[in-house]
Amino acid sequence: MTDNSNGLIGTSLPNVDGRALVTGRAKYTVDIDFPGMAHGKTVRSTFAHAVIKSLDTSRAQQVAGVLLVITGEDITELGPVANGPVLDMLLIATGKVRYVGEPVAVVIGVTEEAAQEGADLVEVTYEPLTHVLDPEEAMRNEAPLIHEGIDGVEGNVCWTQQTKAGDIDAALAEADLVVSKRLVTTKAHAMPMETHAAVARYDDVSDTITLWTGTQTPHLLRNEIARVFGYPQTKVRVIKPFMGGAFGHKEGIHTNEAMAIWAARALRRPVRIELSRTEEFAATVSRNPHIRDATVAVRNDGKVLGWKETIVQDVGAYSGISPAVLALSEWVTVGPYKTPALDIEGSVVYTNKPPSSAFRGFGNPQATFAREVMFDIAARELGIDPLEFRYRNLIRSEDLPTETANGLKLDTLPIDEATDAVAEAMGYEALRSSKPPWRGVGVANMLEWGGGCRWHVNYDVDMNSVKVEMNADGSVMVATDAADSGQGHATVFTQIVSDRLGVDPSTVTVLPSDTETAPFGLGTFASRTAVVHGSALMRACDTLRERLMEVAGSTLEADPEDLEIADGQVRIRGTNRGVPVTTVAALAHYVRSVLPAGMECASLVASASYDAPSTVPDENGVGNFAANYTTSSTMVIVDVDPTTGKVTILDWASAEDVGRAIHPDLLKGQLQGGVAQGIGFALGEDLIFDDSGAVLNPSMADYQVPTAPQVPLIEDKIMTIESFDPTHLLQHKGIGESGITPAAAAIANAVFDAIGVPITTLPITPEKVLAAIESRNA
Amino acid sequence: MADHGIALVVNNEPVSTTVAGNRLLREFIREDLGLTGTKSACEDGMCGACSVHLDGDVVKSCLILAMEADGRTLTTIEGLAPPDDLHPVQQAMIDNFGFQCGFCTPGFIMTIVDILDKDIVDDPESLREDLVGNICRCTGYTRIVAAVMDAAGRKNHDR
Repeated sequence: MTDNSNGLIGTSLPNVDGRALVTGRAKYTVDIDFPGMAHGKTVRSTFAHAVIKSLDTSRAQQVAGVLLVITGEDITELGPVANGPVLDMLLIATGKVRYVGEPVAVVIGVTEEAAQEGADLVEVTYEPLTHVLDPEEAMRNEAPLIHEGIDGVEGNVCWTQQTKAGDIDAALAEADLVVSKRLVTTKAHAMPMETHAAVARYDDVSDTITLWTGTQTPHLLRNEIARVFGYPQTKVRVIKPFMGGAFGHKEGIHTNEAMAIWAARALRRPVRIELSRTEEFAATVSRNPHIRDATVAVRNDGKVLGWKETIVQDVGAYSGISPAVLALSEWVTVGPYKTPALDIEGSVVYTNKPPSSAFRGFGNPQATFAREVMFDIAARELGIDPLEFRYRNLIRSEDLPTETANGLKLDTLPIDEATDAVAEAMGYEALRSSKPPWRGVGVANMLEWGGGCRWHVNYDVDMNSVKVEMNADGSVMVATDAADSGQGHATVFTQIVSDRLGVDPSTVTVLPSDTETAPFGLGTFASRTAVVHGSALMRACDTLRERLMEVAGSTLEADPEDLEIADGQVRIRGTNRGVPVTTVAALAHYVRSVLPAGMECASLVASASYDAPSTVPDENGVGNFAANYTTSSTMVIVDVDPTTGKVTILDWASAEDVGRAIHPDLLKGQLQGGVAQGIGFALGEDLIFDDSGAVLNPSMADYQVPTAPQVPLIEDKIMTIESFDPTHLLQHKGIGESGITPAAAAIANAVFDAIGVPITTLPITPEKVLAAIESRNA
Repeated sequence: MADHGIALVVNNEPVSTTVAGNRLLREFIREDLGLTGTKSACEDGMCGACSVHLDGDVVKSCLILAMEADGRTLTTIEGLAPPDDLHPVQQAMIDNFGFQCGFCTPGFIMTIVDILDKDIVDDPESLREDLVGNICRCTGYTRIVAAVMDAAGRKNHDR
C-alpha cells in the first residue's frame, strides 16, 4: 500500500447500492420479466434410491399452456456436469434416482400455474432400491452402491483426503492425557432469502445464450454451460443481477439454469425457472455434516502434542465441490495453536440425501467445533482453566513469522491480542470467580484462510481480475465478476478507485457482474473478493494512475515522479501547481500533442489479474493453501434454563484480525451476520430426514433460522484488529466467513461451563441439554 | 376460479381490475402490478419479505387474497416516499448499514414504518421482539435495530 490520495480507504462510504435496495427498485433475478417469458417447474423424485421404470409425460403434454417437457433421456448429450473433481451428477436423473427431490423432469409452461399443472401430471414409476442415509452404514461392504462406474470412486467413498505432519505416534506416547471423542455436526441449510432462480434467452440470429442468474461464479458457470452445450465461451453470457444472499449456496451449475437455457433454445422464447422455498430446503445443497472421531494428546501442563482424527463427511447423493470442503476443513483443523503433529484421514461418502456443498466457512465451522470442544474437555480434565489452556498453546506474536506443521505460512496472526481483547471485554476473570448457577462462559478461537484458497485437482489458480476504464470526463467504470450478494463489493471498489485515481466516488460506476464485460475470474467465494478482486483492482488502478501522472507531467512540464494525486488534482508535490484529474482525462482522450511519447489517445483503460500467492498442498495435505490467514477469538455468555434446557445467549464478544479495515461498517456487518448464522448452526438449524429419506422440515416454519429476539445486539464487542499483513496489496484479509466459524464451538463450550457436561454434537437443542443435565445428575 | 372486480388505491393511484379468487395479494402486487419491490421468500407467512400496508396497517401479502384489498388503500415499498425522496426509515437503513443483500429490506422497512407510526420506540431490547415477524439472513439484526432506533430518535426529535 502506498499513499492514500483522499482518505477514503478505512472510512465507511455510504453503500452505493443503498438507494436501489431500500426503495425496492433493485432488480433480482426473480424480478426479471420479459414479454412472452415461459416458466419452468421441476418434477422431483419421491424415492431416495430407485430405478426409474417408466416416465410418462403424455398427460402433462396435453395440459393447456404446457410448452415442453424435458426428461433426462432428452438431454443425454449434455452429460454429467463438473461442479467438482468427480463427474457424478446429471442435470436430470436418468436410469435411477439417488435422493428424494432429485429432478426427473422439467415442465415448461406459459405460466407457472400451467407448468405446475403439467409437472403434477408427469407419471413416474419407480422400482425402489435399498437406500442408505447414514454415511457410516454407506461405508460398509454390504451397503447399496449409490454410484457405479465412476473413476476413483470405491464403494460409496467418492473422495479421500489426508493431512499428516509430524510424528503422531511419538505425540501420543509422550502425552500425559489422551482424550478421544466423537463430534458430530449437522446438515444446516444456507437459506438465502432469494431462492435459486434463472432466466434464459436465446438469440437464434447470433446463436447466443444469455443467462441471468443468482450465481457466485459467473465465469465458471459460463464455461461449464459452454462445455456441456458445446458452445464457444463467447457465445454464452452470464449476468448476475442483484442477488438475495448466497453464502456458498450458489456456486457452480444448477439444473434450473441449464434447463432454462435448454427450453429457451427449444422454444425460442425467454424462460424463467425459479425454485420454491420448499424445493430449496428439500432438494438443494446444504452444509456437509461431519462425523469426527478426534483424539488429542496433551501434556500435564496443558501443552498439546498432537491431533489425530478421522472424518466422515456425508456428501449426500452428489459430490460437487465437497471434496474441497473436506480438504480445507483438515488444513485448518489444528487452528491457531502450536501443534507439532497431526494425522487426519477424511472420507467423502455418498448417501441417499440431497447433496451437501459449500456453506459459509466451508469445513471450518465443523473443524473448529471439534477442536475447541475437545480443548475444553482436555482442559477441564487437567484442571486448567479453558482460557489458560488456550494461552498455553497459542501461536504468539513473538513466534511470527512461522510455518505450521502442515505448511501454513503465518506472517501476521494476532491471536494472543484477540484473546486478550475478548477476555477483557467480557470481564472473564470476574465471571470465573462469581457466576450465577446455570450461567456459562465459553471461548473459541479459530484460524481461517484470509481470502481465497488454492484447492483443485483440475487446475491451479486462486485469481480474479478486473477492468478499469477512465472516461474523458474523469468518471470511471469498473468491470468485474465479483458476485455481490450483500457484501457491498461495489462500495468497496468505489473506495479503492476513488482513492487511487483521485476521482469523486459519485463518478465511479461498478458494472453489474457480467461475463460479457468482466475479464475472467473465479467469482466470489472463500472470503476472497475484497482481497483478490481488490488487489487486482489496485493493480489496474495503479496502471491508470501511472498514465495519469505521465500525461499530467507532460502538461505541467514536471517529472511524473514528483507528482501526487490529492483533492481531485494531479499536483506537483509540495506545491499548489496542478491540473484536475478530469482535465487530464480529457487531454488523454483527445489531445495527442500533450501525451508522452509512446502513449496512445484514450489509453486510460487497464485490465489486471491477481493470482493470490498460495500453493496447492502435497499428497500429505501439507502446503500453504491460502496466501495468508486470519484469526479470531470469540467469547460467549449463556444462561441455561435447567427445567426446559433452553439456551439463551446473553452476551457475545469477538475480536477479529482483518489485516486492514477498508470499510469498517461493511466489514462489521459481515461479522455480525456470520455470528447470527453461527447461532442458528449451534442451536437448531438442521435438515431432518424421515426413514424414507424425505426432508421433514422444508419450510421456514419448521426450519427455523434465528429471528431478531434470538440474536443479541452485538456492536461494540465485535472488535477488529489491524495486523497490516503485507501479503495482499491493501494489507487486508478476507473475513466473510469468520463470524460463523467459531460460533457453535463457543456456544457449546459456554453450555458445557453452565451445566458441567460437554456437548459434542450439534445442534444444541433443549432436549439435548436436558438429557445432558440428567446424565450428570444420574 | 371466478374473477372478481376490485377497486383500490395503490401508492396513491386508483386501480380497477379483476383478479382470480385465489390470487394472492403478493402475486397481484408483483406480477399484475409489476411492483417487484415486494418480495416473496417463504410462502408461508414466516419471513415478512412481502410486507405491505393495507389501510395503514402492515400485513404479509402472501397471507391475504388480492380481492380482500377491494376498496382499500395499498402502499408498497415503491409508494413509501416520492420517487426522488426517501422515507426517514429508508434513510436510516442506509445510514446504519441496516441491510446487506437487500432482499428482506423492503419488508423490514414496511414493518418498521408501521411500528414507528404506532408506538414510541425507545428500547432496543424490546424492539427485537417487535421484529420477530421478519427474517434477515445477512445482517444478524443489530444494524436493523440501530436503524430503527436512529429513525425513532429523529422522529422523537421532530416532535
